[in-house]
Amino acid sequence: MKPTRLVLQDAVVSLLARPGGAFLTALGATIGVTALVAVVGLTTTASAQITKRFDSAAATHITVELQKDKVDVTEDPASWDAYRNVQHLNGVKAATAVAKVEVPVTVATIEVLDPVAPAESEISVISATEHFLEAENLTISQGRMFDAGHDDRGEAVVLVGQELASRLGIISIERNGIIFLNDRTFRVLGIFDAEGAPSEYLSSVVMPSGIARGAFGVNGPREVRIRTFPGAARTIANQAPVAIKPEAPESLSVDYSAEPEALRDQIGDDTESLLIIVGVVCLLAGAVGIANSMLVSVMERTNEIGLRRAIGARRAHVVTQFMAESSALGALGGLMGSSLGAIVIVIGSAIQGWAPTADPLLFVAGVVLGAVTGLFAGIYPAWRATRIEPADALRAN
Amino acid sequence: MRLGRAVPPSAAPKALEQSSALIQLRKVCKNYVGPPSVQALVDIDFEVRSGEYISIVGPSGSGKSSLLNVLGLLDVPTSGQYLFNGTETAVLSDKERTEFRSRNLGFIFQAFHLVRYRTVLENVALPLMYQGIPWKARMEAARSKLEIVGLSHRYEALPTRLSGGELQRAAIARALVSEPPLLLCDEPTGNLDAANSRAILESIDALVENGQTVMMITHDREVAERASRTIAIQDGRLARDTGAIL
Repeated sequence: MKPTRLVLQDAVVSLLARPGGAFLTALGATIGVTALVAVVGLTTTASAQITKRFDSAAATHITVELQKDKVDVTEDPASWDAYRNVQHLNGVKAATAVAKVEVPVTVATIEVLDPVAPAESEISVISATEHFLEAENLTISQGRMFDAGHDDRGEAVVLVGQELASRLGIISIERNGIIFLNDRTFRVLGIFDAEGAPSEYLSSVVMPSGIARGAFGVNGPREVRIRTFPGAARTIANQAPVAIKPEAPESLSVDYSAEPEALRDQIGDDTESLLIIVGVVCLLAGAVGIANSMLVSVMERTNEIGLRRAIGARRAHVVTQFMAESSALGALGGLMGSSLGAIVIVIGSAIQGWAPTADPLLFVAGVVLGAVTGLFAGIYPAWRATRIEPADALRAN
Repeated sequence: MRLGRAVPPSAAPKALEQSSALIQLRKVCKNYVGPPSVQALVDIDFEVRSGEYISIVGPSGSGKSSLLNVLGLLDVPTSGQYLFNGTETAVLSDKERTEFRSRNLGFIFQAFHLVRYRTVLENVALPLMYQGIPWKARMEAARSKLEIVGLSHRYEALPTRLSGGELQRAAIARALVSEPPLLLCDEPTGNLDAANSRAILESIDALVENGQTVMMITHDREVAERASRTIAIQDGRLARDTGAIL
């Protein structure tokens, strides 16, 4: 059997024979790897948070204006279906065709002999297709949304914004769900509210295009409003005009806020650079810790090294022994450091209220890095050990 | 079973001449470059036959340790020839010298030099590891040597749990485990009380009776007188050799 293999086994046995010393030496690597894993893990978690924040702030709304001065889409009733082609584009959450009723519209509730009943007032009326609420990030707080059937049949139904409903005293659509627009009766099908940010529509009435055409002469939509998934806005903005009007996409103007991708990428790069610098510093600290401990170990074991050389250990055996011990200690430190690092990530994330995000390979890498760090840290102490002459070492004791 | 007794075949072509002597020193000098420069050994000439029991005596600083280092291949002579079983040792590389030492020389030190965190059995088996002998065979060989020195009941003890006498007996077992042709002892009783010293010397006497060649440095006249031959070193020179081969 090759002596080198036996020396490797002996190195492990030697470490196990003095667990206290091995543990203390491994602490150098433990601290380094703990810091590295924790920094990488927390930075990854923070990056995920940054991405999440950017995604939430990213543009998800697109407005395609159907310019009637170039192409008179308003005369084409089928253009109310323009949004349907957009609806099927990959990345679109919802799309709707909308038009504002241009004629003045006054609203009133049921005529009762009530002195405190609200007076008639002029309001904004929107004509829209079925996915209006989803496209505008609105939700139904009472009742239901109208559908294609209401539209096709031209039913006199409306949705009322939450603010307008409050102003009109519509507490329950079951009890007083009727309003009058320019003296025409409409059934309030539902009341909608904003899901996130306040919406301009909360003081408006929204009705299906079918009744809007018949009652107020709205022949076609003015805009297609699109809500996309985060990150898809730019692509959809390019595709939507073609989907809506393939024969003349240039006639449509698209409006959307540019995504802050460049800023996000810059912050990502900065975070990565920080991670690399901190990681390298941590590893160096760990390597110095192991190298220092191993050097002390070499000095403490001068006598043992001399003895081993005297009884048959070649310089290569001494190098193998110390490098193997150093690597094993590094791996042990890496294992402990990865475990502690994981705990730090979980605790740190919990304190910040973040979801801990770390690649499982990070922990495997921590062990491997520990071993590699130990290996490199052991080079100088091992070289020092080979310089020990047995005669000098044995005489010294 | 004798382990590692033979001189490595690779060393055979280096033999200058065949001799019945186990070792031959011819005009061996050892200088240490200073400052101050020291002539530790000057023209040392002697031969040792197999089975001899030789004590090396001399005042402190006379060159005894330098001579033991040269004999033990722990140091290289500045000039002169040192032949071991006919092999010229000066031409051996560091690696060859280490292997040669491992198979042909056993050491017993005044300070015992046992690895403190390994058991007695593991300490005794240690030299065989560097000869590539598997664990089981190493342990068997170590057990047999520990039985010879009367330590069969302390296999698993750590050196820190042993008395001085037991430590030195373990060191003797380790020196014998490779069954080397030559045993070099450096003040083996220097750290022991009278009773333990006597026991150790009796152990060495027993080895000699079984044909073991032993060379022992000592300050103690009584210890030196147990040997069949005494070599006295004075100022690095061979002052007296009571059994020189003519």
